Amino acid sequence: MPVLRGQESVSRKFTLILILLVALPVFALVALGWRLVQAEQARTQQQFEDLLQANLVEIDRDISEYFDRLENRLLESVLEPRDIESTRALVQSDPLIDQLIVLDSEGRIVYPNIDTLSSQESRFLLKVEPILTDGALLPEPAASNAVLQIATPSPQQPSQVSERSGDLANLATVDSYEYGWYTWYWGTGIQLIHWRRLARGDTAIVGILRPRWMADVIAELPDSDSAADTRSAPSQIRLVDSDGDVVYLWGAKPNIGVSTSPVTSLHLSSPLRPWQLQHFGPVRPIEIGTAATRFNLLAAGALLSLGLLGLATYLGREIGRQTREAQERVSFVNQVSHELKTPLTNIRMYADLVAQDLERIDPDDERAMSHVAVITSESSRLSRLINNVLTFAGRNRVNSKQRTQPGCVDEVIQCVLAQFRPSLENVGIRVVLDLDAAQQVLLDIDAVEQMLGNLISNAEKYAAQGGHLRLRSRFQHGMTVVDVADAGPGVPNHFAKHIFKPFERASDHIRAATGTGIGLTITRSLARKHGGDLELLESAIGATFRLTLRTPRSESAPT
Amino acid sequence: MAAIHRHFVTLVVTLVVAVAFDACVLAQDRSSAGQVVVDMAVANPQMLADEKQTTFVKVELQGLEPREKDDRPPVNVALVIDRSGSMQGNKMEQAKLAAIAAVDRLRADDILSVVAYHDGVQTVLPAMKLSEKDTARTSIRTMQASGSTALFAGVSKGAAEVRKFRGENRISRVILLSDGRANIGPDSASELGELGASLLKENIAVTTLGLGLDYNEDLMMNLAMRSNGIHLFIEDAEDLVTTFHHELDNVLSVVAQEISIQVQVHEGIRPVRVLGREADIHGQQISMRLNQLYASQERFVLIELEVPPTASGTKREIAEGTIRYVNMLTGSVDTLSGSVSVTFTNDTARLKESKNREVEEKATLLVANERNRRATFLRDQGKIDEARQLLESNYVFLRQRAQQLNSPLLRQQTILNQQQAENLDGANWQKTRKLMLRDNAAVELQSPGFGGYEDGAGVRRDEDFRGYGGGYGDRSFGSGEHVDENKRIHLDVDAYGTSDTQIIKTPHETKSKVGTAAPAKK
Repeated sequence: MPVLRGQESVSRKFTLILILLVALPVFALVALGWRLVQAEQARTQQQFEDLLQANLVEIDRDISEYFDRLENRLLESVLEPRDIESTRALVQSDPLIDQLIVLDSEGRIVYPNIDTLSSQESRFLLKVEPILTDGALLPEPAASNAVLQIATPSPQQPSQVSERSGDLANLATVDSYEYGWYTWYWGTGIQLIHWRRLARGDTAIVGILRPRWMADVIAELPDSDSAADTRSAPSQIRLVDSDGDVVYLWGAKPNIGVSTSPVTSLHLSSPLRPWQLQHFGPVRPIEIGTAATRFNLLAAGALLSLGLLGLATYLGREIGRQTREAQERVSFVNQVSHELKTPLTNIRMYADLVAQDLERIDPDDERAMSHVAVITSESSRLSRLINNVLTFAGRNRVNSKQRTQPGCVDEVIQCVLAQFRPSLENVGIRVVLDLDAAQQVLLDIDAVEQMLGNLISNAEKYAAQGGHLRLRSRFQHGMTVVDVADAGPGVPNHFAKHIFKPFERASDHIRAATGTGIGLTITRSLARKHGGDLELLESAIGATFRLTLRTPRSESAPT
Repeated sequence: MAAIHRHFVTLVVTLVVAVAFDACVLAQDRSSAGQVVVDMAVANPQMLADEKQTTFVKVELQGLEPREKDDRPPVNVALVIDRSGSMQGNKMEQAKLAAIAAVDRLRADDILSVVAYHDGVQTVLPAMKLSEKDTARTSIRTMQASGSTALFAGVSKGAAEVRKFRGENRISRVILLSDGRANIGPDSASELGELGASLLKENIAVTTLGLGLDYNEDLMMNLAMRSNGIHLFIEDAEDLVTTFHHELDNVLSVVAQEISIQVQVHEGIRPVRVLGREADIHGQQISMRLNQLYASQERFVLIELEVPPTASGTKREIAEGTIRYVNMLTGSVDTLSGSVSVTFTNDTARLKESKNREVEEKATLLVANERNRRATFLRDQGKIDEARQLLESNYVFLRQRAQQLNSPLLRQQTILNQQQAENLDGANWQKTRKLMLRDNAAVELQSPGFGGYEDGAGVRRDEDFRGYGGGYGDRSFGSGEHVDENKRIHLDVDAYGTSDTQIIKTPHETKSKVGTAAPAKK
């Protein structure tokens, strides 16, 4: 607890704290800001991708609307395909119908006439042969349902059917029938047919001309330039078939360096489920918003850092100034105390001389003798106080190397007691001795004197009403233990922890005994310096301090 | 012109009368209504008795000139222009000029749209009436060449533009220009062909203009053929505008549309096939569709029939034809009909004498044509020798038939086959292939004129002849002029020769030569 020595380290500590005070919030702010920017970016990115995705969904809707219209048209025109003439006329005139097949409930071909197949009809039969033979479109009630669900893989198919049968309510015959799309792979790619359950369990299978529906789908899609207008960065949307080949694309060609994989993609709805819409373009949106946020954050961070830095500098200076003032005061006190030492020593010396003179002149003059004794005792007390102050200030031996010398602990105790005897008697304290440390050991006599003086002085000040002071010493294994037990009011439990801290006194009451409040602090510090410690023992009455000292026997220690 | 026109009408009337008197003898039937005349004939009006044999029945349609010269139905044309990188420079400039030429030519009540394709498709001019021609011209001038070739998408969008004004009594046409191979979207000849077939059902014909030597002629040809349009091969971009004018001439002279031909073959007689044309054969019923017929254009269909052994002296009707079409001048649906009969005999002299040389000649031409196509197919597979052998045997076959029938047309084909056989290899192949396919298409698509023929009615229809040649498909070539047969024959032969021969000539410089490629008359 030496204040003067710790001066520099304390101010360094303060600087460190101040730096932390500035750095921590700034760091926290930077981290927070960075995360904010990240989050903002992620959010923008998400929004950007959502926007692109929504765009694709809209395009997909256009395409599926086309197929819905086509389906409605087919439902209106393909009504009773058992009438060969009108059916043939339909096939020959409808630009979308490739061919039409009608199967009866057992899967036999009712139309066209197998015996008079035209070449186109044969070709078409060859094409659909795999799906006719696997019976996927047969009206076998239980079995076909399952197969058909696989065949038309759209989950919303049932709901679409119910919706549409509402639209077609005017066609009384339609309601009870089922219909849907069916796709399979043949030749150049995905092939599309529309099947429909008719009366008598017949099934009409309408093959849609592949290049034609592709052309129609393309015609539904936007022109090349339209996508480019709505976006500032060049981007392109591609319609890609199941092999990954581009069927159609629109929008401006993305810049070189833009990723070659799509930013986002979407599978089409039924019936063209294996096809995809892909968006190509910049992976990130133009970062105007984020840049602004970033700038704001940066500015706020810089301002806050500057503010904190200013505050810290001010605080640092203030603390520095106060520390310096305190330092000056302490050093003044030290100086004064030090200056007091010499006259005090002279006073003690002359008081001793006066006592000798008195004894020689008139040994019976009790009155004069007692006056001199008071002077001696008070001056030694003053000397102890000054010693304490100087020890505390670090100007005394505490910091210098221990000056051990051979001596006897009990003798030191006797010597100190001799100094205190008049004042102890004065306050009515009887000393009980139980000394058993008469061995010659190595010890710092001055320090031990100071420690004992402090402890006895404490008892004298605080435990006068107890009436006695018990001093007990023991030597064991190179350690000397001295117990100083008074019978005073003792130390309150809650205060026991604090009594060794500087300037703590058990009572600040005005009536309380005077003292500097550093006695126990110095004693403990000195004891530790001496390789021991000072503890407060728990005791029934009064306070018992145990002083432990490392005191190697002087015979074993070479001097 | 008007004089010729009247002369022609008189001829037709005479013809009808002649048919009425002479139908039984010639086993031939002609009838006319409105803008189209039909002519049905059989190759062997007299057939050997008691023997199973095949013969060809021809159904020929001929468009008539409108009474008023300027009386034409409004048109609805989509120009689908390749603006891919390969078009850069003069090609693009010429394409713009051609499109602007179309703007200039069309009337204010015509509809024009311009679609340009590269990586994607751009509607340069949405379908609309040409009331503000300047706006249209300005839009066309903005086109710039770059990127790839999304041909399929271009046609899709072009057809969609035409479809916006469907239902009106208009002549619909998509004119596709390309100088390269489709490399975005569907790119096979069969897919484009099927798209063409679908458009045919909507009466949208696709004319395909192939520019230079690098385009895919199979794709362009298929698209044109199956939509009943024509394919033109333009080697030099400088000729683009001229060709465009020719094509517009065609479009502007359509007199009939949505032509359906139904032929009912009588019981016992088996329809074998229809030569060189897509047709539905359902039992005894044969149905075909033609998209459009130009004024003064002849188009025919040849059906091969198998006739069972029949007793001598029997005369029986073998097929009946019904033709329906939309008369583009009146907007009404007109119907025509005709029938053919044969007589069975054992008199071989009469058999020979009665043969219809015209039908035989056309049948020969088409059969040889199929072999010619087969030769191209073999050559594509790298079987050059087989292809050459096929062409040489075709050459022998044609030469023999040409002698038998004394046919200059077949003689010309003979020479062509020879030329082709020589050019199957080497540097000229790319061009030869385009010419071969073009000529194949010409034979199949356009009615060959077979000039100088004395038809059944005994009228020499020399002035009607404009040769054949879907390749150029233009009636304005040498319009109203009598073209010397021998010179006509030369042109295509020349085309196979040195590479600097111009394929397309302007009407003015080549009047004397281009007849072979121009089936038209006025």
